[in-house]
Amino acid sequence: MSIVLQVLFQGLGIGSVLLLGALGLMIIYGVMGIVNLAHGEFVMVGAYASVVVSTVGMSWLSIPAAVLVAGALGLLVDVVVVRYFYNNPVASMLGTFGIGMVLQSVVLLVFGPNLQRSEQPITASVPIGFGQSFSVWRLVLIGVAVVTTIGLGLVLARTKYGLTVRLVTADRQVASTLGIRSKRTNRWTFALGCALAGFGGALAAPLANVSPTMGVTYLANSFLVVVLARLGDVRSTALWSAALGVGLAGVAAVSNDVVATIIIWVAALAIVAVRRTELSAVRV
Amino acid sequence: MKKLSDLLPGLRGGGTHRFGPTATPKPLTAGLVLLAFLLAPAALGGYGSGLVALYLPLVLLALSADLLWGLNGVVSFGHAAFFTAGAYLAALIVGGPGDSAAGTLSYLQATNVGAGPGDVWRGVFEALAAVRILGVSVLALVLPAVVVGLFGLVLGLVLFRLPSPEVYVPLMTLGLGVIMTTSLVGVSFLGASNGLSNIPSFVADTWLTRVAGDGMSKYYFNLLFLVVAYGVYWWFRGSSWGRRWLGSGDSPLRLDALGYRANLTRSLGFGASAALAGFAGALYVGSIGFVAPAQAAVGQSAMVLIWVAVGRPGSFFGPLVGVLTIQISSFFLSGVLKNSWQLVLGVILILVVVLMTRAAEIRAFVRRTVRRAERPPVERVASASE
Amino acid sequence: MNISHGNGAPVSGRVRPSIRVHRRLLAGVALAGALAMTTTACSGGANQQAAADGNTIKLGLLYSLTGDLATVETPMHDAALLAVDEINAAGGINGKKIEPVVEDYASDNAKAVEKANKLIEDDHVVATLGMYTSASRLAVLPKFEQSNSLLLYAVVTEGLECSPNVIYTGITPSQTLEQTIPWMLQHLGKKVYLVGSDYIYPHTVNAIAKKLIEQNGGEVVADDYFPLGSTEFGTAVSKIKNSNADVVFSSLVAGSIPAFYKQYHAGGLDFQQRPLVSSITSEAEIAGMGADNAVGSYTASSYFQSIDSPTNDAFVKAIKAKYGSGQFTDREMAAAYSTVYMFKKAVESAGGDLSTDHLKKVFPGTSVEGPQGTVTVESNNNTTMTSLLGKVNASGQFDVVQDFGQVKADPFPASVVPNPPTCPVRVK
Repeated sequence: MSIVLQVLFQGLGIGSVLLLGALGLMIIYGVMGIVNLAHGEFVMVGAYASVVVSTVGMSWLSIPAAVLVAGALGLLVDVVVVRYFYNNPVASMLGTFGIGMVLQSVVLLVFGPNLQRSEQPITASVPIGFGQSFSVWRLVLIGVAVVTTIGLGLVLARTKYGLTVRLVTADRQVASTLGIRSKRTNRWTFALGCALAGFGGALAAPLANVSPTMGVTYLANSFLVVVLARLGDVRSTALWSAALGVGLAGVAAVSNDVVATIIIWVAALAIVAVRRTELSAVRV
Repeated sequence: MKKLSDLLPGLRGGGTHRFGPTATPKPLTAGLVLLAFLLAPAALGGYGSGLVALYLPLVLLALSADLLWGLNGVVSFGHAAFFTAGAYLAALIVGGPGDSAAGTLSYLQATNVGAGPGDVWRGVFEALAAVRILGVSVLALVLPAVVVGLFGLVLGLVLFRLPSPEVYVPLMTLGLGVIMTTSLVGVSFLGASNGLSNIPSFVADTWLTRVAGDGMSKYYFNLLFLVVAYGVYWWFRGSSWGRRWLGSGDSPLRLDALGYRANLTRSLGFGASAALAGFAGALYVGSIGFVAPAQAAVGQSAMVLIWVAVGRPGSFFGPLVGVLTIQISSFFLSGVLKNSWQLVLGVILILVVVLMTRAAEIRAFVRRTVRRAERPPVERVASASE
Repeated sequence: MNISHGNGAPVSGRVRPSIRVHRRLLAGVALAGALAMTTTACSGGANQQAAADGNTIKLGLLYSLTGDLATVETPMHDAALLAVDEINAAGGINGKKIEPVVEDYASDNAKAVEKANKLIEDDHVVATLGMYTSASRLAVLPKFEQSNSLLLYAVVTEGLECSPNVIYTGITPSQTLEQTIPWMLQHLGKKVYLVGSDYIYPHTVNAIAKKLIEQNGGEVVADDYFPLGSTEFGTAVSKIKNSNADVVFSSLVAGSIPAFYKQYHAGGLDFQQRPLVSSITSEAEIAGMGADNAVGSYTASSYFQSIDSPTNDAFVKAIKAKYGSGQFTDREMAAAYSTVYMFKKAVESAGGDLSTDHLKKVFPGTSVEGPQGTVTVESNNNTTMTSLLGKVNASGQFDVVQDFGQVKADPFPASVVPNPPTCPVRVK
């Protein structure tokens, strides 16, 4: 029972990082038709921003700073470059790949290649029953991910911007005939997606490593979640992130991490293959 | 609701940028390109030829990916995995299983001294390697293509039965890359994380190396296969097989209605693409001398797609232009700029892409300028005098 | 047929001939430019000359300055360049300056082969200092053996290799484990939980450790491996907690180390009750996780930044002066630094003949006083050095707990390898 509890919490912890990454990737793809190959680099930028702010002494501001920096950078990148890629899958792949290279290089040149120190603001652990204890910071992480998801869901459901996002995701041509100014929607969506990525980076940094190449690992797993979940549906994304996280933790508890990665990927692919109805809306 | 198939270039009427195969080049152009490549070693020297020789199998890899992406609308994120699988098979045949470190490691992990699985297979591989034509171990080139191709065919048969293969192929091949890199690291028969190294050149024992040296002999050997592959490709693009292939990607339903089985066609094509990628891997391992799990990673497959994209998906010489431009400029830039070369390469890539998206405007501008120049002088004088 | 919209836009897919020509020209120019770049990169006239021509001695430096491994390799490159600068400032080698030829292989072993080709065949270096992972060394090794050039490999290694074209100046398990494991079993506990990153080096180290543990009366409780670069250790930590292990022996590498140590504490464990011993963790990783996450853990190594010697004090000072007061020094940096000095000494005694064959004869027996103490290259191309066991203190530095003295390197330890070959021997 104690193992089950530990696996559950562990899995939710992994899942919450996956979730924040997947949400950002999803709304960018859904609204703009762009596969953001630089997604991992925005996670990295958020992590670095939080480290810099902590070093200056204001560690409680580190997370808001990360969100702002990543979001602002996303806005800048969109204004300068990404706006040429809207609805152009090939160009967006190439272009965001180039952006990723540039971001990695700039961070490498400015901060050097060494790992950066990133401290958890809370280092205590709390007992969760059955003799197990769990890191408070990880609980905070899970909580924040849940709150963000709910918040994003509310934004999408209740606000005008959210309505625009949902409409453009569902059917871009209809949206444009309704006079929706997709350029502005695109711009703010890209910034929001990058801000979410940066948020994930700042939260994960205390538990992981902060280096210029840290973002690469987030891309593949976030991509898997986006494909598993229903596009544009925040709740579905949250559920699949949790499932993936718990799955990875569960298999790792029984055998080892390498086997866990293989098994979970095979299972996820099998699920996608078997579950045909969701993805084949209209057949040409 | 948006489908992930909208990810693919315009083939379902989705995106606004339509790719399709451009015409095959004029024989004169192709002849000039061939001549340039035949004569290049004179300018490059042994060392330079050896360097470019490493890129030629990568062109084959890009070509195999372009067969799917540019001509059939299917994006594969796993071609580096097929490539690496072919490389491993060739390395096993020509070089034998697991190196000394891994061999000792197997011993250390087991408690009994004696023959490991490697020794039984070693004899098999040596027998396969002994089959030579003109001094080249041909089975080390043929078997990888066949085995990887068969695997690709089986995978294709599964994938193209699913309703939206354009969605599943990227995802499944992405998973293939992840699974392959993760699992290979633990197989000591394959050298574990070190991989298999010290693989000799395919032409090491031939007259070619004696005459031309290591670098040039690898260059011409690889060039030979590149020319053959491009020759076949040229024929393919002009043939009815080529049209059937295009049709199976563009409108499989119509193809089915005409009596050609689109799914089977696509599966066969996927298998052929995998076979070419596996062959390219075999050729590559003979040139570079090693293969390791890291080469199958998703990042490497992404690089393959970048090559194809830079050369324009569907364009005849696209794979060639894409691979050589990116690889040579990376080599050159990193030699000059040390640790800031990726910054420059990234900026160049972004500029190229932005220009590409504005290509229509640039083309219109060029057209206007050309038309202005071509208008007969009489008209101009006449309009000016009005 | 000449249908047009009237504005010049093509109707069918056919493009006007002039545009087609432009596009082809563009592709041709791009290709020609690429080939021209290769030619320039290759045949810079001066590069064709022999290595010791003129007034310089060329030393290749082949490291990852970008990519995943830049974190660990750039400091080594920096330390090597510091040594080069110092030697050149003092007049060079026999009056000739060392010319470092730096190449970045971007953590990509295929690029490493390309750059090794360049250094050997185009730049004609006397020797090359570089590489990091065993995979990277094995990828370039055939080139060094076939072209008969010399590779100086200054990184901790699992042994099991002694190529005649490589001088190994990094510490091997025979110099750390055979001393540390018995001490660990005696002082920290007999039940050991092994963890490691999932590739050959940690597997080899742990396999040797297992043998030594069993031979010395200990018990291996478990043996877990994690993907290289993994940072998820929550499950691992709880498994350790639930086991009856007294001590954890870690062969985790690079980025996994800070993550594991941090999550060790986050999971409710500490180094007092359940100590941790590693043969890898160094000042680099401690900088990445903070002293409070590492304090109380042990590392078996050949060098610590805290070593109290004039040579080390000067070294640490020089590094901090050049790269910032926050810069640490670790075993790999010390090894790279002293290897350049060993190169200097070998070249001095080689006199006028800097061919690889002559250097191969001259290197064994070369000895310098480095930051890590006396280091001597032996006839098996490996290096004798001091073996130490250190414990992390509150300021993130190591206190030396045990000094096992100068230990010879045995790449094929007889205790675990049945039929060791006679070194040096070609890899295949």
